[in-house]
Amino acid sequence: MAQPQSTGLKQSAPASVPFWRDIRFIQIFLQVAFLISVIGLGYLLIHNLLVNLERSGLMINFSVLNRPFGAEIAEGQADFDPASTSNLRALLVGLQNTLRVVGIGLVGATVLGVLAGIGQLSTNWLLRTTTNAYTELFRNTPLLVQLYFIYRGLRGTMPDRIADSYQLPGPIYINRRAVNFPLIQTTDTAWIFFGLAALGLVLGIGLWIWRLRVQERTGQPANTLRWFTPAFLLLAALGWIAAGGPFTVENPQLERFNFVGGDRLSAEYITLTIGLILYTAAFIADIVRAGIQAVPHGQIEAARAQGFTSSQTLRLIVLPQALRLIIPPLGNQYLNLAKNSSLGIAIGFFDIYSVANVISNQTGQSVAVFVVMMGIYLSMSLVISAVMNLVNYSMRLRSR
Amino acid sequence: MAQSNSNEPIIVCRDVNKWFGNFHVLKDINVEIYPQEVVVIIGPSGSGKSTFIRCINRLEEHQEGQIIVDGIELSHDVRNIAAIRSEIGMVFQQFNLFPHLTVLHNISLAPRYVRRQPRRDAEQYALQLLDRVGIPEQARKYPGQLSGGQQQRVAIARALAMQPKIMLFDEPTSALDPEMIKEVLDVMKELAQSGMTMLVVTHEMGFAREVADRIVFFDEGRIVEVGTPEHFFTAPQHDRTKLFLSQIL
Amino acid sequence: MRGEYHSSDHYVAPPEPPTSRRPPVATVGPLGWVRANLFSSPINSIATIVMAIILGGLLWLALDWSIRSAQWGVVFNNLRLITSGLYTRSEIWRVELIGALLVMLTGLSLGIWGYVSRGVFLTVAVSLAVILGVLLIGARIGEPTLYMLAEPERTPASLVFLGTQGDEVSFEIEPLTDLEAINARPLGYIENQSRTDWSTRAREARDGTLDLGAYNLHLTAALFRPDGSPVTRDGAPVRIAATPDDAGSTQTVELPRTGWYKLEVVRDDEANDENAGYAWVKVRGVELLPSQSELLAAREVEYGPRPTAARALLAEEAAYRYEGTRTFAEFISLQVAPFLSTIALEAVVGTALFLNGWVIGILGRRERRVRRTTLAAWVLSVPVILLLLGGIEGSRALPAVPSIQWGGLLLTMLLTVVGIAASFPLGVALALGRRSDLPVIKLVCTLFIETIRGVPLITILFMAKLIVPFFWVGLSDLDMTVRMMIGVTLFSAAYLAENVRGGLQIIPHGQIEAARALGMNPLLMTTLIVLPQALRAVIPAIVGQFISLFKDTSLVAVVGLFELVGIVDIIVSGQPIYRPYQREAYIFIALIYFVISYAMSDVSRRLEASGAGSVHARR
Repeated sequence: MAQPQSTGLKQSAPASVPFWRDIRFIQIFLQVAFLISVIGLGYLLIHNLLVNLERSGLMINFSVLNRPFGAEIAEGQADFDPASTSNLRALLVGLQNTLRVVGIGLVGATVLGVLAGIGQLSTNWLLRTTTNAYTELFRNTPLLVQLYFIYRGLRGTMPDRIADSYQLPGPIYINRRAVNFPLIQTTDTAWIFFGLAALGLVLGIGLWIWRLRVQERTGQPANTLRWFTPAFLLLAALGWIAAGGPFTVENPQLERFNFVGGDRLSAEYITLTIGLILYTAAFIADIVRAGIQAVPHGQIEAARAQGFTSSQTLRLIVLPQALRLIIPPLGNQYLNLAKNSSLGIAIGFFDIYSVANVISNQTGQSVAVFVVMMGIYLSMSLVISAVMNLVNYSMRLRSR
Repeated sequence: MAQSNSNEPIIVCRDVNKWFGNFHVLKDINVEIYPQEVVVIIGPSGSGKSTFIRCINRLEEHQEGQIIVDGIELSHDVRNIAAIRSEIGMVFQQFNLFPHLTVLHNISLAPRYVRRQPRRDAEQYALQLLDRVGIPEQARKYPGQLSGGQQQRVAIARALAMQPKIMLFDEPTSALDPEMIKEVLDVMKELAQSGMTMLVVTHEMGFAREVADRIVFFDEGRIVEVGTPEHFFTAPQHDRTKLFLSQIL
Repeated sequence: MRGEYHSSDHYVAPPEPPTSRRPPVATVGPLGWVRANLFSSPINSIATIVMAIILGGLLWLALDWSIRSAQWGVVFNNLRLITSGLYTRSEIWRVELIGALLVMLTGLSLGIWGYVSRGVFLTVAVSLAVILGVLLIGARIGEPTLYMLAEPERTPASLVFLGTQGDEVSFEIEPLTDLEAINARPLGYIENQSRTDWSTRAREARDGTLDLGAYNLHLTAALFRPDGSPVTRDGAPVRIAATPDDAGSTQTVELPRTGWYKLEVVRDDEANDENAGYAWVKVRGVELLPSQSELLAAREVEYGPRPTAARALLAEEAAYRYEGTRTFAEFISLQVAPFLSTIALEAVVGTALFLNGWVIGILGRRERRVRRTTLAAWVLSVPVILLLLGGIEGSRALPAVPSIQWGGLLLTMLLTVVGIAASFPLGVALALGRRSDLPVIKLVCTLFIETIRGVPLITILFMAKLIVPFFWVGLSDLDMTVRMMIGVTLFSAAYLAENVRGGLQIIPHGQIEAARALGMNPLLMTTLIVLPQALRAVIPAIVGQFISLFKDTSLVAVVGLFELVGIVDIIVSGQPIYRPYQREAYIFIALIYFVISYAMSDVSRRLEASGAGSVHARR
């Protein structure tokens, strides 16, 4: 075969490529151009921002965080004094309120979501239909509407006057403003109880591990709870007696205009928490359902063919496989819940966003407040995704 | 079906009927299987043969008739179902190994949790079984890291780990590449020679001719013909059987 | 293997196959269904029964509430606000025109590309029949009683109402002289002020601070025409005089002609400072007018000016609140019928337009020209709609309507559509950027996406509201609506980018190699090979993101725009009479959100099921 001239071309090619046709140059050039335009645009915007802020006398000033807050926060802190509290302290109170909502919300949404997800797979038509209707209804309407409905609609059915509060055994009083319930406080000797209870926990876990070993050795069922529970309860009860009652209970008392003593959860807190739980749980339910459904039916048949009971099948075969699919989107839902807690502002709940909004309104320092707020939400998101990534990594599946 | 053999059948099916919705999938199935017998079930797809063997360990429920396994009748009694399932091993077309467990755990899990054997015993026996199916070196791997043939052999070992009296095979080689079919069939032959009672749904006519004691031919949800391999393959009697054999041989 | 066999082991079935039998009754049909789905095991049976009781209770409560006591007037009297917000009233025809255009285009598209099942037609036909039926029935059911409280030290109110010739109107005075009488809950419309006073007095009477026995009111009620002449029956004026000893009888009169009437209630002992006691003035057979000024004005034009009185009280919805429980018939006539009559015209016109478009679509579905025109119409409709809505500055035919006035469902849909249209290309670009081989581009895109995904939408909107104007002087004039659109778009784009990235990741490397081998440059490869497959694979996720976007537009209410949620806020806080009926209002808009997002998710599920979205299904 004749290959004329080609050798000559090949040899000379590397040297003679003009630089604007060199792929390496193009890539670097593109990036530099992109970088310059991004930096240029960023510089332009920030420059403008600074100039305009200067002009309107609102130069970014983080010292604003030390100024007194000057507004009431009717949430979380009982002895909140607006005059002596700095804006930074107020933000921390807001953050604390946000975390109270998010913490309870995560637990509640997970429990409800898993239950509803399993309910969607039930063989019982009624249960299946109900849980389906629940998820469809809550997934397809905005959280804000749900919050307004609970806060403005359902709350209206509660008694308006404190004196008319519904009383539940406890005593727990429910009215339009809050739920008042007994405050439980520790006594001086409570450490004895906590110490012994902790000891019981350690002992219980020890027994748990021992029973697992026994199961491996003899094959007898582990019955871990049957050993753990009495050990823990016994020591805890001992501690209770030794401490002579580690807790005091302070009941709320109805005075002329309000309740004195006891603990209270504001209507705003309850609304936001319930709203977030119901909304997020609907999404979690769908994730759980999809995760379990994705486990091939053959897996369940194989387990049944080997004589596993249905609870063993679920525990040993289905759940470990389903969890791998469930955890990544579950993490997203946790993130959403944390972010959605900012909707508290719509119903007057003093979370971090509301406090930041108040500060921004009072001082005009919207940029500084915005930066702080972004920082807080981003770190919250980062923590949640870091934890979920860790869990996800530990559960990954090997294949070739 | 007059049986000359004197010992008792281990599986008895009397007038078994089953429907999927309104579709009559099993029609008056009458068959008796004796201990140590290898019965191969063949038939066109959709003829009900898989459904039939899945009825035997009650992965499917029959609606009429009786199925008696080792003296226990299959009913809604949960205890009977569990007792029968641990007596019967099953191998699936799609292997159905548990992807989140190592090969060793796949095999030893049921003995530990269902038979309540000590972990060490269960794992030792599992290693023996792996040796028997010819892949002792794969014990610590995950199913996803094995080839199809290896996976199916693990599945056989997993079924054997429960020390069953009967083994059911539901098209065990249909999802395998040709060169892997042989390694699985070899394991099955070895098992048959060791005296295991086996019910095999398969399209491997060579295996049926060589290993089976009897061949059952299913069509449209009923048993059309039963016979020894030589009789069945050389002198089929029913028209439907003749047609089927002429198409596949 | 067992070995030795005999030829007698052979079994051959009869040549004819047995016929299929029906399965046992207990396992199929309704009975089998109930067994398998509700009572398959003891635990299931208990669960079924417990759930049935709880659900039944809840459903009963909900139905009972919505039929007997819910006031849907907050919805049907404010439909204009809910659909188009504070859009200039005189220009509302533009919104209607846009609605008509979209309905027709939808019908046309469904005719061409969609499959409309018989069920849809049946639903439409049945709905229309129900609307007409309810309207006919509703007109025949009597009006509930109106209650007004007559009090000491106050001039009693005189009721002004619009009557139709032949209507039977009756009225009576019921003194509240004992605890039983005042505790009895009235059943019907109660005048707002009377309601407050009555509940206060009733509580005082229960507490013992008010002595009901000291009743000495002398009341007279009489019916007059607008010209001041009394209405007569058998020649005598129709009036009641109630004294402490004699409550007087119920008076009933057939109205002589159509027009305004006045029921004047007078206290005969006006001079007496010592008067005490309370009485209900009850009127039956009077229809409440909707509280809308233009409607009232129209009636005054038709029937002349309203009669005047010392303390005139118009029989209008705003002044009364329904109390007590309704019957089902009253529910239909008071709640359903008014709602349907408000939407009847629109429903009929809308259905007609939809069917019209659909028929054209069906007929022209094989014509390429029709399909192209339809597509072009959709594309063209966007600028046309924006132009129609915004108007032209200084134009007489289309005066400008500032976008801050756009509201209600109109704004919700607009934010959604603009958000989808703008965030889609941005999201795709971000996703490609994040997958880029060039580290700088990758870094910038990743940073942008992760920052936006890490913060709540509401902070982005906060930025759009407060900080964006500082970036550019020109931006400070930017309408709040447009700023919110930008915020929503940026937020949605970041999430969309992640969805698209998911699709990009599943493209097999062989596809890219094949494209390279064919000599495609990166641009061609991306647009012709990679993106079409990647996008198709993640259609469900993208639609899910659009649904989120649609729901998230509600958050602009928090920063002060009047889309669906914001407008309801205005209605319930700006119109005091509707403040007690927030539940009804929020249920209604929740229903709107639900229907639209459910429809969207249903479409995406169908796409998913049909395999159109799957790369693997096409192999």
